[in-house]
Amino acid sequence: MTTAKAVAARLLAVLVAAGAAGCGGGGGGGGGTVSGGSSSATAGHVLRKVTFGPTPALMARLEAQGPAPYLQEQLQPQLVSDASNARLNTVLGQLTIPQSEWDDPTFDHLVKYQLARATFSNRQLLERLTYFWETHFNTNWTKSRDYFLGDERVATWVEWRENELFRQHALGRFEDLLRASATSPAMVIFLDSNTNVAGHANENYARELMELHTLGVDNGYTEHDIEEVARCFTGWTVCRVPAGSQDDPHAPCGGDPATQRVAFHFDAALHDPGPKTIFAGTPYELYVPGRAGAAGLQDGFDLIAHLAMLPQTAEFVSEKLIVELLADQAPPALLAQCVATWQATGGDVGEVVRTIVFSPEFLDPAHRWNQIRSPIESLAGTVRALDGFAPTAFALSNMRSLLDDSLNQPPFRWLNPDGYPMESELQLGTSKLFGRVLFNQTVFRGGLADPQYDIRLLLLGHGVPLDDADAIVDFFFALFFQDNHTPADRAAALDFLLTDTAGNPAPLYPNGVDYPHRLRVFAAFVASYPQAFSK
Amino acid sequence: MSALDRRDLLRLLLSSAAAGAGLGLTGRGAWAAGAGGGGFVPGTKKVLFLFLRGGNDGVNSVIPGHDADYTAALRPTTWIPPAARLDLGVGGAAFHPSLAKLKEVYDLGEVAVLHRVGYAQSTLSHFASQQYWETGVPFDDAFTEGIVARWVDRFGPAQVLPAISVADTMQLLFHGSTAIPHIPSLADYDLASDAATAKLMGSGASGLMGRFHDAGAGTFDDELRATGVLMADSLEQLASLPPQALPTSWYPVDDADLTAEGLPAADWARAFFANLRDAVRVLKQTDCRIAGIQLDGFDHHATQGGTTGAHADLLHAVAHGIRSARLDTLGLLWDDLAVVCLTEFGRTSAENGSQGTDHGKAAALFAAGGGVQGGVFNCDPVSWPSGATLFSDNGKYVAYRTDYRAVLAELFERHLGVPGGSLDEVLPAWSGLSGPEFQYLGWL
Repeated sequence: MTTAKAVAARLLAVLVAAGAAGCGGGGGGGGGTVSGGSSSATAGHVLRKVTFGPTPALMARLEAQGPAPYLQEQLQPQLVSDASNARLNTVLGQLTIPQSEWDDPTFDHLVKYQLARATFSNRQLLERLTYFWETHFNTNWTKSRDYFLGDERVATWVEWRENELFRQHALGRFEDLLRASATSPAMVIFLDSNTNVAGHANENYARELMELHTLGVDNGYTEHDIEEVARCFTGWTVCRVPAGSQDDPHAPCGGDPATQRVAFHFDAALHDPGPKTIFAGTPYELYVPGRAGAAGLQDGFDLIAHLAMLPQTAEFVSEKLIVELLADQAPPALLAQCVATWQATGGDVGEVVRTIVFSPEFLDPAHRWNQIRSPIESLAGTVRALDGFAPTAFALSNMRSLLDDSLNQPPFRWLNPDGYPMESELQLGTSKLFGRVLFNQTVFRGGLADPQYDIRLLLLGHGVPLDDADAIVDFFFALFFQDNHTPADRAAALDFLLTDTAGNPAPLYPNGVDYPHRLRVFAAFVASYPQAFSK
Repeated sequence: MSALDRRDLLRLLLSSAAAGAGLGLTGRGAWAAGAGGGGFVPGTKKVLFLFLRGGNDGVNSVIPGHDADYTAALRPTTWIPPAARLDLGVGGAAFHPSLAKLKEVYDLGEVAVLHRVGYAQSTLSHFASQQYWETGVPFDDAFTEGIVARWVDRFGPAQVLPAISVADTMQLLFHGSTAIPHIPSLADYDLASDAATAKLMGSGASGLMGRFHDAGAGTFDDELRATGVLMADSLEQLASLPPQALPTSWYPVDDADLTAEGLPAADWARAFFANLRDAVRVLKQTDCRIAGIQLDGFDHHATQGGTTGAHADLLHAVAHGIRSARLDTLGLLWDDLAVVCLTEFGRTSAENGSQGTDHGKAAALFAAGGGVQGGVFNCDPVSWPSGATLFSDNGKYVAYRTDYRAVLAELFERHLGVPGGSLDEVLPAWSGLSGPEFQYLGWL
C-alpha cells in the first residue's frame, strides 16, 4: 500500500516529467482553464458548431482572437497542417493505410482512421464536412463485402477510397463530390448501378440520386424522369482491371489475378445508346443525345453536371448544410443567401459554408445550444475536451463499439441510402442517450483508471487545486460545456462532489485512496449533463 | 413534485399498492407518476408491431394463385410454382413456402392476411412512405409524430413503459412529444449496478436524473429532458425483470440454433430474434402495452430469389418469429395480443432486369393473435380479379383496395379500445375520410 505522501511525490514526479510535453498534449499547449464571459460563450458556440468539440487550447485561441481567423483558416484546410499533430499521427502510424486492396486493409482500421481524423485532426471543419458527405452519399460496406463474396480487403478498399475522395472534395465543388460518389465502386454496388442495363433498367440509383443526393424527395421529378435517368446510367458497373488501369473506366476487364484492381467500369455493350429527355417540358429540361460506344459514359456525367446546378439541388443541399452547422430549421434569409452563393460559385461547398459561418444568423443567440450533438460529436467531444488526457486506442475502440451498438450510427455500415438522421430529435431516444452516458463512464472510470492518466494530473496540469471543490466544478463545467449552467447545475455538482455514494458528506482528501475514483465518477457525471450533449 | 423524492415516492407507491391502497396519482407528465411500473395484468390488450422495412414483396408473400397474370414469364426467377405454394383455402391465395410456420398458426384461425393495403397516390420513396405509415399522415413531410407516441400521449396508461421500441434504429412509430423508451436490446441497456453508478444516475438533484429533469428552463429541449428522465426510469425497471428460460429454438440467436431451424446464420437473423425475444418479454413481464420491432432488408432490387433465396429467408424468419411469439405467450397473453406486420409498400408485379423487383404500391400485411379473426382479406377472386389486378396501378403495380389507416383504426378502436369518436386523436383527420377503402376489413 502506497502512503499518501508517496502518492503525492509520485504525482509530482509524473507531473514534472509530463511538463515538457504539457499535460494538454502535443495538440497545442493546454494550460489555463477556459473561463466564462461573452468571448468564451462565443468561442464555445463556434467550436461546438463547426468542430467535433472544443479543446482547451482552441477555446483559449478563440477567446483571444475571436472566431474569424479560425474560421477563415478552417475554410482553407490546405493551410492547416497535421504534420506535427503527434496525437493524430501516432494513431495513423498504427494503422495500415492502403494504396490499393493489395495492402490488405482491414475494416477496423478504416473505422479507426475515420474516427481518429474526426477526433484529432486540426482540420476540424474539413472532417465535419467529410463525415457529412459520408452520410449524404451513404454506402454500406457490408453490401460491398457480400458483392465481393466476402473479400473484406476489397470492400474496405473501395470504402476507404471513397472516404478519401469525400475528404479531398469536402469543401470543394458539389459536382466533384457527386461525381466521386456516382463512380465509386461502393456506390455502384450499393445502389445497384452494376445491374442497371439497357432494356432492363434498375431504378435504384436513379431514384436516390434525385431524392437523396440532389433535388430532395418529390421535388421536381416524375416517375418517367427516374426511368430516363436510369437509362443514362446503364452500363455503369464494377470490374477487375489490370493494375495501372484502375482510373480508366474504359479499360478492358481482366488482367493478372495476382495484381488486378477493382475499379469503376463502363460497359458500352450494356448501355442504352438512345437519346434521353429528362425533366421534359420543364424550364430545366435536359436532352441527352444518342451516343454509341464508349461515348455513352458521358450521359451520366452530363446529368450529374446538370443536377449539381439545379436550384432545387442548391436549396436541398444548402438546407442540409445549415442543419449540420447551425439550426434544424434553416433561417429563410440565410438559406436564400446560400442558394445565391451556390449559383454564383458553381456549387462551391466551401463558399456556401463560408456564407453560413460568417452570416449574422450564425452568432445569433437564438441559434446557440439549439441542437443535439450527433452521436459521433458527443463521443469525440468528450475525448477532445480532455485534449489527449485519455488512452487513445481505448477511446477509439469504445467509440467504435458504441457507435455500432447503442448509438446506432455505425461508420460505413448504415443500411439504407438515406444516411444517419440529422435532426436533433432523431439524435435522441433513450438508447442513444444511454450510449453517450455509457461512453463517459467508460472513458473516465475505465480509461482514466490507468495510472498514467491519474485524474489529479489533469487537474494539476490546469492549475486546479485538488482540494478546492469550487475550482474543480468550474474546471469541468468549462471543459464540457463552456460554463453554460444554472445555479442548480452548480449546486448539484458541488453536492455530488462532496458526498459519498450513500449521500453522506465526504470532504476531499487529494491523497486519499478513493480520491481518483471519486473524481473520475464526478467527471463522468458532469460530462453527461444535458448541456454536454447539446450544441 | 420535486425531483428530490422520486425514489421515496416510488417506495411509497409500491408499499401502498401492496397494502391495497393506491395514492390515486393519475396522468402522465408528472415526473414521478407511475415510476417503477407494474407487472403483467391478464386481460389487458397489447400490440406487437413488426415493421418489415424496405418494402416487402406482397405478391410473392401471399400469392394470388388464381390470377392468370401471375406467371413464370412475369417473374422469370422469382416465380413461385403452384406445387410449392401453401394454399390458404380461399380460391387461390397462397403463402410463399417459407411461411410454412405462419401457415400452422393460420390453420388455427389466428392469422389475418390483409392484402392490397396502401393509400392514394402512394410514394415510391422508402423514407417518405415509411414516415407516412408510421405517422398516419400521408404527404406531410414535416409531421413526424408517430402513431404509437400519439396513442401513449392521449390514451396511454400513466407508467414508465406504456410502450417500447426494441430496435437498432429509432422507429418513428414510437417517436413524439411523449418520450418512449427505444432500446437496442435488454442486454445492452444496462449500466453497471454499482453504488457509484447509482449515484451518478441518481434520482436526487445531484444525479443525472435530476439534471435532466431540471434542464429545459430556456436553453434545452423538452425532449432532452424527457428522454433523460425516462432513460433513468426505464433502466431501473428493465434491470429488474425476472429471469426467464426459454427453448433456444424459439428465438435462435446462435449459429447452431439458427441452422437447426433452417434459418440463415446471419447478423440480421440474430438481431431479429433477440429483439423479438426482448419485446415479447417486456410485454409478458411488465404492464407495457405496445412494443415494436423491425426487420430490414426487404428492398430486393436484385437477386430476390424465388422459393429459396434472400426474400425466402426473411419470410421464414418472420413466420418462425410469429409462431414463437405465440408459443411464448400461449395461455398468458396470446389471446390479448395482436402481432401486426407493417411494410411501407409492395413491389412491381413484374421482375426487373436484375432478378429482383422495384418499389411498388399496395402491400400485403399479416396480423396474428388469439383474438384475431383469421382469414384472407382482399385476395380472393372477387376482391382480386384475375387479369385485372397485378397491373391495376400505372400498369406496373397492384392498386390498393384498403387504406392502411383503416387497418390501424380498426386496431386502435377494436383492440386497444380507443372510442371510435376519438380516433382522430391517434389518426389525424380520420373522421373526415370516407369511401370503401376506409371500411374496416373486420380482422378484429
